[in-house]
Amino acid sequence: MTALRNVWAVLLREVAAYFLSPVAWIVITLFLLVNGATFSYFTSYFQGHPRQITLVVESLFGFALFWILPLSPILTMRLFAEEKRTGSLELLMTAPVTEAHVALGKFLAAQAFYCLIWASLLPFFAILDVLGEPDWGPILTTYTGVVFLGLLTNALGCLASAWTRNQLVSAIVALSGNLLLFYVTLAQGLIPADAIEVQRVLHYLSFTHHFDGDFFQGSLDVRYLFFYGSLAASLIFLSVLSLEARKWR
Amino acid sequence: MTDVRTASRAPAAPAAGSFSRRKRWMARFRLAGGLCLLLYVLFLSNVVAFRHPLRVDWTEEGLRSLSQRTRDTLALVREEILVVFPTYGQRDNPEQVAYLDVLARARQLLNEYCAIQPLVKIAAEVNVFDRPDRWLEVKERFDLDASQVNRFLFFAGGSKELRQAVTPQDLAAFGPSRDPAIAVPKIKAFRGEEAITTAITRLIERRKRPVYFTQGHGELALRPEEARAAGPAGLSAFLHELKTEGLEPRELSFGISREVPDDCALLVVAAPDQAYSREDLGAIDRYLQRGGKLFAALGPARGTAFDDLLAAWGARALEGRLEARKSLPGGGHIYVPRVPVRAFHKAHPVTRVFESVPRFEMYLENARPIASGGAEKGLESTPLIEVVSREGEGYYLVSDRKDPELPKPGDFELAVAVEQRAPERPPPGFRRLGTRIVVAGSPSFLRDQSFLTGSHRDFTMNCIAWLLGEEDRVTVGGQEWAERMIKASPGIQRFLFWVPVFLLPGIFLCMGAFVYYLRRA
Repeated sequence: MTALRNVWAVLLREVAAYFLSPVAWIVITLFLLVNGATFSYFTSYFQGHPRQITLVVESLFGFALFWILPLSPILTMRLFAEEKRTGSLELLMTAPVTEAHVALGKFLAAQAFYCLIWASLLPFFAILDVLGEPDWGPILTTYTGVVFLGLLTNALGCLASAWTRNQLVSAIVALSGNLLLFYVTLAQGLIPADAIEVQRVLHYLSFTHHFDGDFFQGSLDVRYLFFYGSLAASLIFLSVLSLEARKWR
Repeated sequence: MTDVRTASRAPAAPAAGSFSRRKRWMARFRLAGGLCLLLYVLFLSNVVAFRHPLRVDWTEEGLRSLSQRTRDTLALVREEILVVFPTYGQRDNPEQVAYLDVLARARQLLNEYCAIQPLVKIAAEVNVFDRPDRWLEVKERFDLDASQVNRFLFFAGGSKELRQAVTPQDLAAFGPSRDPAIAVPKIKAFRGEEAITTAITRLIERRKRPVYFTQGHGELALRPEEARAAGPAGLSAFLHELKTEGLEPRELSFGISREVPDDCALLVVAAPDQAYSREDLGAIDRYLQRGGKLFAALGPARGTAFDDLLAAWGARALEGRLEARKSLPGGGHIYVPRVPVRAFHKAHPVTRVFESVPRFEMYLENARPIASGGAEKGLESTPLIEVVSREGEGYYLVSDRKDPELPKPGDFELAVAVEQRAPERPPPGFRRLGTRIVVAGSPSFLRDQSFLTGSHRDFTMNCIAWLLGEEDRVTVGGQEWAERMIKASPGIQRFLFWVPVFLLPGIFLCMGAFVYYLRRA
């Protein structure tokens, strides 16, 4: 219970920090503005198509997915780097909390804010529901995929932030890590056509394939969620180790 | 005075036995060990997950769910089945736009097959335009030709000698396009699961059952070149459908042997317009006596001995042809030989599945009514489809003798199915006859111009499945291709621009400004 209370306290502190900063609001506004324009464009582009609503949902998510690349690094870059730079991390560690509590609380705060940003797209789907009959299955599976992928990218961002005291370095490291996940898709094109097993493994690792092939289509493959979750747990564990490491450097 | 730094460093000097140093090394060791363990657990758990896919379908229409029949079929797969998917899309070609839509949905469905049965693998998926180098590689490896694009190609066997193709036409039923040059054909139903499962089934079964088409009595041409020459009146769509079901259409000219071959899975008599000889009829009768299956679509010729043979087996073809009376908008009416059929038997395995579709509709031209009943040998004939006269819609049997007056309208059966039912108390030594017969009053629904429209294809293939004793394959045109559109008026279009682009972001911007103001205050 104490652990939960500690994590909750850190989480609340971080969430409050997000919302008291104008940057958070600017990020949400920009996110909504760009996706709103995309939504408006695709609704008119697919006008008259028998699967208009399905295609609008697919296109909107397909486009919005690229936001994950910069979004998580932006949200997580200051989590530890800022505290290290100002020295407030030492102060925080004098409180009766462990490194694990701090890492988990900060990570969950970033994840909560990340989910809120994605939830801001819900009014678009509500509009579609009022004007037509969208299939909510693919919307829910895509949201599930986005949340789990967020676990992975935010955990990567946390680790990057825990490694350095410079926010910019943290953001670039996290962004590079996210790009690596994208490169898996590109790597598939370089593998010979007859290397089917390698292709299958790369398919398992490539989140663009997970979304294009499954989540956007209303199919939830639990393997992919496990992949994101297990990797995220490992990265959080590494973040905790990284925080503990300052003791024996 | 002792230097503080020297003093603090002093205890560390003896090194090896130092507590703090040992602690640091232990911590590093624990970290390295922990990392190795973490990587190992991560790798192992993901390998297990990779090999045991668990998928959940959340679509409203269950688009990603496979039927039990498909799952059973996939459980029978014992060797690798490779799938090649070369695409070639011209977005300005309306027909291809519809085809690509269907192929894309089938491609998603194929993921479910691969997840359930890992031996089904996507070997290559290549866009011919985007990756010509890759296409050449795939083409050479799988021995393809340039025309084999926009379809799924299934390969099995050590040297990939067994292959099946699933085309967009197999995957969906398309409605006629208003204008093939500019309008995208309407996709009426998606039957991807049926098509893919059938292709896999044929690869597993590795055998083709022969279907013999009688020839030499003016029947519809079987040979592709002749069928093509016959244009829309040909049978190529029907033949393709048979091949898709793992059947092998063959010609049967009775010749000298005067017997239907023993390996005949199904005998098709398609619109003969010349009389059969007594010997030929004897061969057909003997085939039926030994439990044969017959699918007959009667042509306009009547009063032949073949009619007598069918009558003996419980399907009596009436003389004359049916006409439908149609009212004209300006008053009056005309009689047309193209008869719409909307009534079907609600309980027979061939037609009962049509209860679950929004519309059943067939059109038969110059059809002869078939009367059920009157059979011997305990055979029972069931009317499959019929026309029912009602107010404003009448059907007339017109005689060739040019009667000066049309008879009164009536109800007519246009196809019947015959089989022997087991008696409730079978006599000792009773052996049920395996014979099954379907007789239709017109061959028009088998021709290319009609086969893929209305319920013609489904009715025909359901008849074939029933005749072959494969009732589980009786289907109706797949899932409905649901349309999801916004009916946008100019007002709604304005709403779709202003609300997402300005209103919603504006709300968050104002909230941000409010928070900023509060903090400043």
